[in-house]
Amino acid sequence: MGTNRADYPREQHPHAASAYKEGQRGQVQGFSSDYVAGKLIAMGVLPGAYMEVMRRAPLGGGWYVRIGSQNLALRKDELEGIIMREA
Amino acid sequence: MGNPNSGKSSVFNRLTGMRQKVGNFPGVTVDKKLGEVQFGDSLRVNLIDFPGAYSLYPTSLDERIVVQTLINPADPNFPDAILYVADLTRLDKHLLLFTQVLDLGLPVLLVLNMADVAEQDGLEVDLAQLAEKLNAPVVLVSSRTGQGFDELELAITKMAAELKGYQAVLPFYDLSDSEQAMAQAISPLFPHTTPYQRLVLMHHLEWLPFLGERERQEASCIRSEYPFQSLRSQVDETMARYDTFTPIVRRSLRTAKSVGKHDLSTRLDGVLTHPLSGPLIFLLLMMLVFQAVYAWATYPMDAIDWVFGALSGALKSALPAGWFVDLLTDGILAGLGGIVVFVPQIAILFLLVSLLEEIGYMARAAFMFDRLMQFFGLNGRSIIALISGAACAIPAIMSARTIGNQKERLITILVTPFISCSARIPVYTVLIGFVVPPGRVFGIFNAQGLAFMGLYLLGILAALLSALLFKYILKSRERSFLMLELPEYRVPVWRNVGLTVWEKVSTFVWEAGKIIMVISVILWAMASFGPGEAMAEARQEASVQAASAQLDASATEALRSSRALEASYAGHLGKWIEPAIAPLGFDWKIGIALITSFAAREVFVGTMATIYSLADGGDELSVRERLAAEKNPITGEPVYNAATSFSLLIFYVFAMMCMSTLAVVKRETLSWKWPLIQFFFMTGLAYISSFLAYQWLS
Repeated sequence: MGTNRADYPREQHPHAASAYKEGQRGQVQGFSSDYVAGKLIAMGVLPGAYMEVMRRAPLGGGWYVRIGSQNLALRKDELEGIIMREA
Repeated sequence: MGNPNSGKSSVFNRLTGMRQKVGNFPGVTVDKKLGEVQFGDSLRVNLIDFPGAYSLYPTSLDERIVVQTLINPADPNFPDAILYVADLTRLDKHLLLFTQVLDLGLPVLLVLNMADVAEQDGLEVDLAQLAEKLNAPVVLVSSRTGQGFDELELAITKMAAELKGYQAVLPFYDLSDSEQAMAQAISPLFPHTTPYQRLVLMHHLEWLPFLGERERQEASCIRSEYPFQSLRSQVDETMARYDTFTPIVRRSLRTAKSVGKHDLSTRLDGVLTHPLSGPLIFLLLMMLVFQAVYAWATYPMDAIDWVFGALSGALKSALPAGWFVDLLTDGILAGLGGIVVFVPQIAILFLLVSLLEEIGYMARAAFMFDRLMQFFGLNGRSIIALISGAACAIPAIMSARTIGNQKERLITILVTPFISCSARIPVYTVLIGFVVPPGRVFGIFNAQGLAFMGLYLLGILAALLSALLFKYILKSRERSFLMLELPEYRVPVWRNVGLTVWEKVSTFVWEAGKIIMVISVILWAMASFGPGEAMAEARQEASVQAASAQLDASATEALRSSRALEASYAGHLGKWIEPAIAPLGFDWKIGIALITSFAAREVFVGTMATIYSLADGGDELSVRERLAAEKNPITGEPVYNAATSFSLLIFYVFAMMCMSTLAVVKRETLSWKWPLIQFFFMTGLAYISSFLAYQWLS
């Protein structure tokens, strides 16, 4: 199981996906927030999936990411709950 | 049922066609589409289109509906069996909810949709193996081409014949030891349930509406004896399910690698969600939508006006004059016309909006404007409602249904009528001339045109600032999410577009129409009856006056109706509210117009024409000329000075002067609470601003 326990939900994890820049790729290792995990896993985002940050929303706030074969729009605090490792 | 974007509603539309009805799940405004379908000679099935859901762990109201219905056998919508629709091309993601529903002990038929796309992609599926491993019948269909629907009907008929045989024997997910023990301990409380059903119950004890207080407490007491952590258990269960069905999917599908189509969507998004061109294209599209609702709709609307005018004229000449024919023409026919006249705008807006939705563009728009709208307590999708509100608030408010978060949806509904709609234009046109003299600003801009724009901006400002206000006032326990799938761009299915338009139009006509009708008849009665013989006497007097002034026939008739209106209940009400509206610079004549134009803002011009007894019924120009000549009987000053006109303009920008909008808000929020709050909030704001404007200017 690649999920971490929700011990530090509010402070940013050193490998959080929110630190990724446009065009950067990585692999989903797990989730630091069970809340984000619950919804993302149900949508089919599983640990081990490759993720690429495609672009930022024109007015900020949202990110267009490609995870596996699907495109998702996520907010910054949602990306914060995803822990990445270098692909 | 099925995941969002699985083509679930498309399959439903194909099966039911026009035989579908729209209602609400009890107590909430989550659309419940219901269709009765006849299969063969003997089988009649009621199909319910459940909202799209990802799992039995809901994050939105839509998903909650699915859960609370499926784990409560006493629910009126509890199904006998389930058609589970999954996108074949994304089967690896769409089976989670399927396996959960199987474990609930419900008979499930798996419908694999998008067979046509899969074929193009070179995707092959081993149906027999899939059916065996998943322990459920599987049918392959394409809701776009209609392929496989004969087989689907056959499978449904077969399933209906012996439902019991389709219940899963073995659970897909084995509860952990402590979950198992907990489910065991709880079983006396919930007899005739599967262990997994009880586990789901334990997850959602806090909000499930069908649980009694005693049940809830006993169950949570038992739950606290076990080391049960809802989120943790949810994640573990979900992962275990994926671990079970992923190998099955992998073995049953043979894929020829093809990524061409995905590239197309990605490349399109490079332009359509680009930081610069993205918003620009969106604005252009919205201008097109606005233009369409605003300009294209005028032709059918004029035609409808003409037909109702002709009908009312024909009735008046065919039947003997009297209150009955007046009720028929000025009350009922006028009300009916007031309903039907909105149909073109609603139809055109939803034609375009559902087209954009079908293509997959709406998700992108929501993504682009999420941050901006979030600031005002709204949702990315609210921007569609706000922009279409510039044409007409009614379809705009109805389009807010696509907003999942209930608080964000409610705020959108509450503030959209602030956006100046097309019905305000005649009022603005008549009054603006009194406030702003014709001429040019900086040599290029038409001063009155600028004032026009200013009024629109004022409306937009009011909408956004009140949204901000409501954001802090309204409480919501619902967490706001973006987490939005951006589906691949698709060619729209016209059947779905057509059905959406049909559904929206008929909902408006039947639901809001009833209320509009009642108010229209009430307004008619107020303008046609007065206390005692007052109105007859007023007419009599007017005739005498007209005779002595040697007026011609049409001027006499105009004077008669003007005096009669003054003597009616509406006239009395106008005089009665005069003290209240005098600080805004309004007299009782404006008061009458305010009351009657509650039917619709554009009625203001017509009422003014009647009050000032304009013989020709009055177009905007003649009304304006007449208003300019109106003098205050005491001071001799013009009534429509800049202060009064400006105050009246401001009033019309803010005030909730549209019964149809209120009727729609009632229908969309399922209570009179919100339309009333909206009415008093908007009209109160209008009153205060007009008061300040008048006092400051005069």
